[in-house]
Amino acid sequence: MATEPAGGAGTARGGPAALLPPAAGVALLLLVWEVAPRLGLVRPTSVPPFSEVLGEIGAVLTDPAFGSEVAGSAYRWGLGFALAVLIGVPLGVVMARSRLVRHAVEPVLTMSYPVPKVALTLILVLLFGAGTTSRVIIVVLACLIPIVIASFHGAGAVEPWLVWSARGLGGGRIGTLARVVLPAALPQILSGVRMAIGVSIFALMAAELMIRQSGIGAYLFTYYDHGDTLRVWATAAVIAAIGFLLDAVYVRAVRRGLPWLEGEI
Amino acid sequence: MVARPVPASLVDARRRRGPAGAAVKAFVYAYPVVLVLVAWEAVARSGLFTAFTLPPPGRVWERARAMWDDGTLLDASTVTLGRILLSFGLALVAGVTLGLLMGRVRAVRLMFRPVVSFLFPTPKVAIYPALVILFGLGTASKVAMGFAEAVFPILLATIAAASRVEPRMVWSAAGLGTSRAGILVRVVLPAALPGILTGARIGLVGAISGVFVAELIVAADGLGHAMAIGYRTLATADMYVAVVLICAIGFVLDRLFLLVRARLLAWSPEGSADG
Repeated sequence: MATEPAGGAGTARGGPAALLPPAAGVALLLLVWEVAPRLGLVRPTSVPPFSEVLGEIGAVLTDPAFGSEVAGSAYRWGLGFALAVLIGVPLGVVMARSRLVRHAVEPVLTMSYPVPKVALTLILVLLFGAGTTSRVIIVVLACLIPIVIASFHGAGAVEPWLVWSARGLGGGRIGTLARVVLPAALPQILSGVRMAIGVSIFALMAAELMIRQSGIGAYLFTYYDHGDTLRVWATAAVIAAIGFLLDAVYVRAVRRGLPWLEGEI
Repeated sequence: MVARPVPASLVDARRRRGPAGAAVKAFVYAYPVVLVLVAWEAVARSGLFTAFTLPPPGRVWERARAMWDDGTLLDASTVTLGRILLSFGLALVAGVTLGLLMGRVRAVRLMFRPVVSFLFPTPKVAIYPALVILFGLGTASKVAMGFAEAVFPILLATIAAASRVEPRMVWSAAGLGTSRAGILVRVVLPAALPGILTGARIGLVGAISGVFVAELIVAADGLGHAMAIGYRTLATADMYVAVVLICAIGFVLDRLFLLVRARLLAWSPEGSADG
């Protein structure tokens, strides 16, 4: 969706002329960023011009401390994300196929949907300490709702005759779930996973900004505390780019791995 | 990608009318709350955690009463609620306006698309320190954070819904002499409303998270700040008060939103099936 947000008619006309407006949009934004501080419209001490931030990005990327914080954050995020997929997908699929599980889980989901999961960060720190456990739990909580809901909707929309045929041909309940329902629900599940990637990076960054002991968020905050505005903007830009790249890589990987998938992810 | 939030209608019983339906409805709402309270009490008593790190619900309730009586709780909630509503309102206006234009005007869409597709999947909280530098420690930086979290789901849902409006409706209006701006406001906007509101519900949760997190990280007032103070001064029961209250605010705002949505969409299949 993000790479093709308009999704409407008439967006995909090729040719160099079609490239002009997008380039103009980006150029305009960067120009304003460059010129506004230089003309004194905003204080250059709070918003440094784009060219200076660009130079500082190089310094952030070559900083070994930043590299090790990225590795730490990536490890915690990967662990939480994997756990959420392992719990969320089966839970959503079973919810769609079993009334009992659905009636038990659904009110809890409806209730916890509007709760800001990151609000629980400091509570988790109280209970489990400021280490890996609390951060992994935050990532799991943030991922879980989009993944469960997407799996539930996906599995609920599977054509009943597909399930009947599989059962009629002698498939067991579990075999049918794994071999028929799960693949049929896959497109929706993959969309939910994409949502979860965005939400969980937000949650992890927010948690690291609050806990401030290790991770990319903590790195960012150290420079905020030092009043190093330039480094703050450059680090924020790098984190934004990481989020964007992660999303783009996910979409690319799904398209390559599952070429039969139609529509938006 | 614009994932559906939990449709409120999934529990079949909730659609039943009459006293029996109301009782079932009350039970469906009460059950998760009771579950959490019982689990909380049980874990607090089990000795797994100390009363300091996990105070029992009764203790937190006492603190809430005390904070309510001295007025701090009401002040903090009012400040936070005001910021949430302001950032959600701004995101709604900006997201719907830009979304309608991007959905219907090719030049606008092409111009903004790269910027929107870059910013949408990025964690906006990473720019929060930059927002504080830019807008200061007060309300403006919190509202900016809530806005940044809320606007993209609304914007993307509006673009998608506006670009899928039936061309025949647009042609008819144009044939009857409606201006381009008139078509946008009187034809495209109502037709895209179901999709817009789906994005808006996600955006509302974004506004709540954004404002609360911003208050937690750097602030001088609000519920998030109350929680951060509780953490720093080791007044752990106060932290639980703040968390429970923000959860309640989130739940009530989400329910109110669904009520408004049902009213607005009474004419459409989405409205009668959901909410």
